[in-house]
Amino acid sequence: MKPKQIDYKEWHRFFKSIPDDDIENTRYYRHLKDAEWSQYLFPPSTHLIYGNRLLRKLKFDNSQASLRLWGYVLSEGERIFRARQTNMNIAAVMGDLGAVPPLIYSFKNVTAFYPDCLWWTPFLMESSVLFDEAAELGIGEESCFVRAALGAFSKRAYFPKPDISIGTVGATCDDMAAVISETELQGNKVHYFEHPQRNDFATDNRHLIDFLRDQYRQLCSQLEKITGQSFSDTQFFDTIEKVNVLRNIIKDIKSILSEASLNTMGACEMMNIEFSALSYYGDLDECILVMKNIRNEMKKRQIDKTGYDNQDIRILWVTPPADLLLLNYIEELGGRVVGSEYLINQTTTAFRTEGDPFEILAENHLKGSLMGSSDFRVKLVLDELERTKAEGVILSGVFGSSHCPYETVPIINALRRKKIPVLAFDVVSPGKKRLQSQIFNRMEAFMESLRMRRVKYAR
Amino acid sequence: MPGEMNPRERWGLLLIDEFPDRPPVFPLITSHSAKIGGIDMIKYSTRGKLLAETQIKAQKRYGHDGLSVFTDVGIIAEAMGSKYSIREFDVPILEKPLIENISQIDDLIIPDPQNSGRLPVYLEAIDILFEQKGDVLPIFAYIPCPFTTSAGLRGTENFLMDTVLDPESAKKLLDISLKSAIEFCDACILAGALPIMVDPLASGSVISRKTYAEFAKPYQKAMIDYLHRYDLDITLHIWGYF
Repeated sequence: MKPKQIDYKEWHRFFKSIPDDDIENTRYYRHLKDAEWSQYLFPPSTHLIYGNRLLRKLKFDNSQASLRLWGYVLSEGERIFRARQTNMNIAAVMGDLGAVPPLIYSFKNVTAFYPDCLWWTPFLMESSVLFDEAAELGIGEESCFVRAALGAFSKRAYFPKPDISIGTVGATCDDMAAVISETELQGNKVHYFEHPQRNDFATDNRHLIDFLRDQYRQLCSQLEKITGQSFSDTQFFDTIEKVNVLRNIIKDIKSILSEASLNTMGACEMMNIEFSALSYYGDLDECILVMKNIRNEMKKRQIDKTGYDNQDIRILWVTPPADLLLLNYIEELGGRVVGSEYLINQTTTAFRTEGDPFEILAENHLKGSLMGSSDFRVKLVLDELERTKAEGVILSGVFGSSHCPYETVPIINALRRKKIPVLAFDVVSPGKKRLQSQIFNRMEAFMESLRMRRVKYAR
Repeated sequence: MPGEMNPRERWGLLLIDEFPDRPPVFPLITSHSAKIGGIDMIKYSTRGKLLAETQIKAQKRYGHDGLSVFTDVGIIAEAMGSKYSIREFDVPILEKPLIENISQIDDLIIPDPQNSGRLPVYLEAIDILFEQKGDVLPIFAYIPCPFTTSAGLRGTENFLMDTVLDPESAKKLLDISLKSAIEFCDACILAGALPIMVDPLASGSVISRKTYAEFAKPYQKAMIDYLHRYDLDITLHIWGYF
C-alpha cells in the first residue's frame, strides 16, 4: 500500500480490512490473561465519538503500524484506570523527570504517567473544560497549557488518584511547579524532587551528580514504601535494558525519518513516538512492540523509496505544539518535519548499564533540555539542525510558559547567524479560530519564502 | 463547582468500569424537545438544525447527561422508499410501505445517508450538536434495527406474515435492511454520535420468542458485532409499539 496520509473517515472504512486476529491480539498489559478490555487496535473514529473532536480534522499515516500507535496512545487514560483496577501502583510524574520512570518501572506491578501531557487534551477535545477548571482553582490564562493537569487532578475523570505524585522543584518550569503545588492543596500528596540548576560548567558536574543521586535515593525509599518491595539491582538493570531498547528504536526512527529520500512518517505520529520515551504510555513492554512495528514500517519505506508525495521542504520543529493541527498544516503546505527539539532531551540517550544505579539515573537526568542555560538548548537546536539539514525552523512557543520568553530570542538569533529562516509564534488556545487562522497565514507565508529561497539559491 | 464532572466525563468513567461523581441520567428526551423548543413535529422531523437546537434547549432545561438524535423508527425504511406521513403534532408514521410484492425486494438499494430521505436530517443534527456540545455531552443516534426497518418496508402485518409463509424472502429483506442500518450507523459515527439500536417491532409484545430468535436476534447480533469490532459501547433499546 502506497504511504499516504488519510483522514478518520478513510481509516474507519479501511479498518474493515484489518484482520480480526490482529485486533484480538493487539493488547496492553499482556501479563493479564483474561483482560478483555485490553485491546487497543481501533481507528480514530472510535476515539472521536468519545470526545476527541480534533481527530476529525487530522490526517493520519495509512499503515497498520500507525493505526496501532494511535490506538495505543489514545488508550493511555483508560490504561491507567485499568492499572488501578488490577491493583497496580500508579505514579504520577510531573516536570522534567525523564530518568524517573525507569526507576519506577524497576518495581513490579507499578505504572507511571505524566499529568503534564494532559496539556494535549483540551486541544484533542477542542474544549476549554480543563482550562476552566484550572482557572477556578486560581491558575488561568497567564499560565502555560500544563495547567490542564490541574483541571484533570480536580476532576478525577482523566486518571485515578496516584499512589505517589513526584513533582519537580528548583530549576524547573515555573508553571508546572505552580500546578504541582496547587494539586497538593487539592489533597494530592507530592514527593518533591529537587532539580539543581545545571550551569553547564564541567567542573560542577560531580557535585550535580552527587546531589541528584541523593534525590534518586530518597525517591527510591518512597517507592519501596508504597510498593512494599525492596529495590533490586537486577530488576533495575533489566528495566534499563528495556528503556535503552526503546530509546534506540526511537533514535533509529528519527534517523530514518531524516535520511530517507521521501517522508516516511507524519509529524503527528513522530511526536507521539518521541513522547513515548517519557513514561511509555503506561506499559513499557507494549510500547517497545508498538515502536518496533513503526520502525519496521519506516525502514521498509526507506528501502522501497516510498513515502508521502509533495512534502519536500525540510523543517525542524522546536518546542512541541499542543495543537497537533499545526503539524498537519505544515505538511499540507509541503513541509516535511525532519527533526525536532521537543524539550525532552533527557529521554533521548541510552543509560549506562553498569555502575551505581542512582548515579546512572543522575547522569541521564542532567541531559534535560530545560534545567540549565538557554545556551544549552540553543546547542540542542543547532545540533539537530546539523543532523537533519533542515531548510527552515518553526518555533512554536506557549503563551505564559516561563521558559519560552528566555529561549526564543537566543534560538532565533543563533539560527539567523546560520542563515536559517525561522518562524516563531505562540500556539493559541482551542476555540480561538481567528488567532489560529493568523498562525496559518504566517505558516503559509513562511513556506512560500522557503520555496522562493530554494529558487534563489539554485540560480 | 470545582471537581464536578460533566456528562462526557461521567459516561467516560462508567464505560471503563469506574465510578463517576454520580450516575449519568439519561431520560429519552427525543421529540419532547420540539415542545421545549416551541416548534412543531414537522419541522423537528425534517430539519436537522432545528432538531439540534431543541435538543440543546431541552438539555439546558433538564440538565440530563446526553443528547438524543431521533425522530422515528421508520427513518431507514423511508430512505429506501416507503412513504411516511409526517405530522404536525406526532411522530412520523408509516403511510404506504414500499414492498407490495415480494419480487420488489431484489430492486432495493442501500440508501445513501448523505442524500436519501431524512437521513441527512440526522447527520446535520449530529454535526451541529457535536460541534457545539460534543466536548461535554455525548450524542446518541437512534438507529432502527433490521427487523423494524423490514416491517417499515413491507408493512408490519405483511412482514410478520412473511416470517411464517415466506421466511426466505423475509430474510432477504432483513439482509438488505441490515446493510442499510450499518451504512447509516457508519455515517452517524463519523458525524460524532454513538448509535443506540432500537427495535420496537422485535419486542415481546409483537412477536414470539421463536420468531425473535430466527428473524430479529441474528440481525441485532450482526449489528452489535459490527459495532463492537470498533470497540463501541452499544445499547439495544426495545420499547412500546410501532
